[in-house]
Amino acid sequence: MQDRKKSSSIFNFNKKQQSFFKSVLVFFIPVVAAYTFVEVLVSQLPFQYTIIADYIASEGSKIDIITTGSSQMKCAVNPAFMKEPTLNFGSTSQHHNTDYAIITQTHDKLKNVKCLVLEVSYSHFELPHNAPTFWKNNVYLKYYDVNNFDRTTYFKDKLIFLSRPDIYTKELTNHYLKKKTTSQFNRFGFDENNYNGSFKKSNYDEAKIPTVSSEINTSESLQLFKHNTAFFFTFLDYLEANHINVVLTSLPMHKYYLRDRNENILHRRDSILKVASERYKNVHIFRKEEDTLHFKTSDYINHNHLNPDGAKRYTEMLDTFIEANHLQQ
Amino acid sequence: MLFNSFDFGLFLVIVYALYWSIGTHKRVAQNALLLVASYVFYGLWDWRFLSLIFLSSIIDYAAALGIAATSKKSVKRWFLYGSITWNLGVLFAFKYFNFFLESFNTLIYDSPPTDTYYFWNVIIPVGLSFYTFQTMSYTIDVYQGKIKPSKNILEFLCFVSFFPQLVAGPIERARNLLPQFTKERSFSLKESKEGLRQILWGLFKKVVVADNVAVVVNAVYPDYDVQGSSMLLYASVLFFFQIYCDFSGYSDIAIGTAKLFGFKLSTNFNIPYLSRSVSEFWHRWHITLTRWFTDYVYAPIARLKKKSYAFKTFALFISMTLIGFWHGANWTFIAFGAFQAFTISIERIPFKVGGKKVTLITYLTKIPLPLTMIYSFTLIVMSCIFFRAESLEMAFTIMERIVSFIPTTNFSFIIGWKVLVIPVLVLAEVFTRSKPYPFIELEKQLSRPLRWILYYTLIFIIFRYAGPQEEFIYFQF
Repeated sequence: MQDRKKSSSIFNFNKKQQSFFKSVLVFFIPVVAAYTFVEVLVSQLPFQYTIIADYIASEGSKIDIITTGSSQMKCAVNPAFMKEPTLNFGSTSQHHNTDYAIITQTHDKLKNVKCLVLEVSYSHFELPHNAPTFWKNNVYLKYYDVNNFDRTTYFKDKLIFLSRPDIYTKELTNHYLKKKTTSQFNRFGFDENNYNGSFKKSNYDEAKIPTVSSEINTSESLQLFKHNTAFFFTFLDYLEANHINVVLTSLPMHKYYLRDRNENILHRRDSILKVASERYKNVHIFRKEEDTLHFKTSDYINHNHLNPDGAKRYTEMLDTFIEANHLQQ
Repeated sequence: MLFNSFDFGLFLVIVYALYWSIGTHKRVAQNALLLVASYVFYGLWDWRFLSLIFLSSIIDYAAALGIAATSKKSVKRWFLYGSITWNLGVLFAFKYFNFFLESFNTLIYDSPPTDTYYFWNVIIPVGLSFYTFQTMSYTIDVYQGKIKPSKNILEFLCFVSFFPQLVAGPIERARNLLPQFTKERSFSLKESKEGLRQILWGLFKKVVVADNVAVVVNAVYPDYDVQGSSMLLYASVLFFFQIYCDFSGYSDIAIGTAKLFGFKLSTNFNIPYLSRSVSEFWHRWHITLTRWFTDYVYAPIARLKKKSYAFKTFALFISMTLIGFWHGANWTFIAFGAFQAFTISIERIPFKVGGKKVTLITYLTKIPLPLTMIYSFTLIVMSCIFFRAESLEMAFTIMERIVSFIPTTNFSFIIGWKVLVIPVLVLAEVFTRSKPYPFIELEKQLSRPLRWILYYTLIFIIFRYAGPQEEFIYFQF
């Protein structure tokens, strides 16, 4: 029998085991310390989400308008140009299921909201929803207190670095080592220096733009379409029940992006917009997708993202639309 | 609960601390703890299927006792048939029912019904193929008199549900694992350290190699019909490394975890890409599954006509096709197995040279390893296309496009230099090929500070370069 000291502790280990546990503990202390340090550094990064969380904490009860959607929305709405207090929840790759989770779960903090501007891009209905394992769920949980995991959450779900080490390592390196951070967030979490992209690289040269590659989804999926539209109408039901006006918007796209769209996907999306506006009295359509008159090449980061100049123009038009339809009341 | 998750780390620490604090002399209490831990481990995925594991365990436990209790051959046989019927029945119901129904519909209807109500809407319980094969082998071994039945229900339940190998193997034989639950386990500092090292190596393979490589494969395969030859070939080669690192990484973590608790599990992989032939590949790849089919399917058939090449080939086709089918209810897996059987049967064709009976394998062993590796690796990668493709049509299209030399206009490594982890992995494994894993007995080669630097580097790489978290591929089987 191995030597074992009598102990009142629930853990009763022999010397060999104690020695092993101590070695393991000593080994892992630097690992935990290093990780904690990295997590703290990440939390100090200039971050759209922390600013938005602060904005909600300080002025949440006054916010009248929420805008939400993907990166196109994030880049297109600068709340500084809205007359009524506005919050932009738009974030890269964010789909309707995440929008829904955010809107429903922040409802108590944003009780005054009267209008929601929801992005319905050209292929929104034929792209998969964010999975429960979507890496940004950690961010939503930590900063917005929104659980989009479809399960009970734990401490580890708030660890940001672990959710996407590659992205955060790059961010940490750029910010702390290379001092290359270019973002200039205003108090609404909008990046006012968000110009860098393929169009700027081409000096907004109209002759070069056709050669700049763009990413556009052209693959059709009726299965996704069925699933996403059903969810979309559930979302609209919720907004109607809560007396929230809805603006369904499609954001300006560059003419070369418009040219590459799949007609079938486009028609299906448009038919849903039509049904939504007919079925719900609180739903309004603000379509800017094909607006090549007001938006020039110099307003874009790339084919489907506006830069801050384009955002100013789009936001002002949106504000006028909301005001004209009394949707903020 | 995935091995590469924070949850599992926490679970392991708690169970491990409780397990050894109980004391090695209290074997029953340790077994009870392992059983509870294993059921919690499985139940956290889906508690409803715990009843299935429990029922399977009880049926096989009772069947084995029944076999041992009677001297009548016919009664023994009925107990055996009962056990096999139950195990195969469960597999059929949960895993293969929809496949057979769909195939049957395709066969008899011009336009098969696609309504989903025709199919049984059920999810496949995680690890079903693993634990049913484990329990089935137990009953067969008892029937054949190779082992005596367990009379301790707790030990038997532990044997079936031991959490390190419950959901994705290695598929253990009762004669190896069951006695380990009956013996007192002593804490070994050496084995504990080895266990942690093997877990670290397994995590590296899974999280850094497999999950990063998966990014490329998952980007290329869905658009297979527009991809050029080089891109498809590149993705197919990477897919081999993805499944290898995914599954062998899982096995390493499983074996390492078992070592922490004083158990020895069977080796499941032995650097399969170093095979000189496809035949050899199956001695290095998913070894416990190959042995299972060899012992319970191939050998009994081949034994009927020992000297007949044709009969052995017939047995080979049956076994390999079933191995393919074991992986999933899809014609692609059947094709995967049949393809392997075809290549092995070619390698085994006997012919006479100078009066001596030889086979292709005889020559392959004489050719320099790099050349034979190219031969076997090419065939293995081809078979992997069946494994990854969603349909036979897709697999054949990919093969056709690869051999048609269609230019790739947008060739991209996609994850750039991260693919370089493959050469790193290969070098590490090749230089330590005589060992079960590269870090074994590292204290004999490196001083403690150097070892710790190596561990910290690996932990840093795992944290920093972890690919998007993917489920272990073999969970679905």
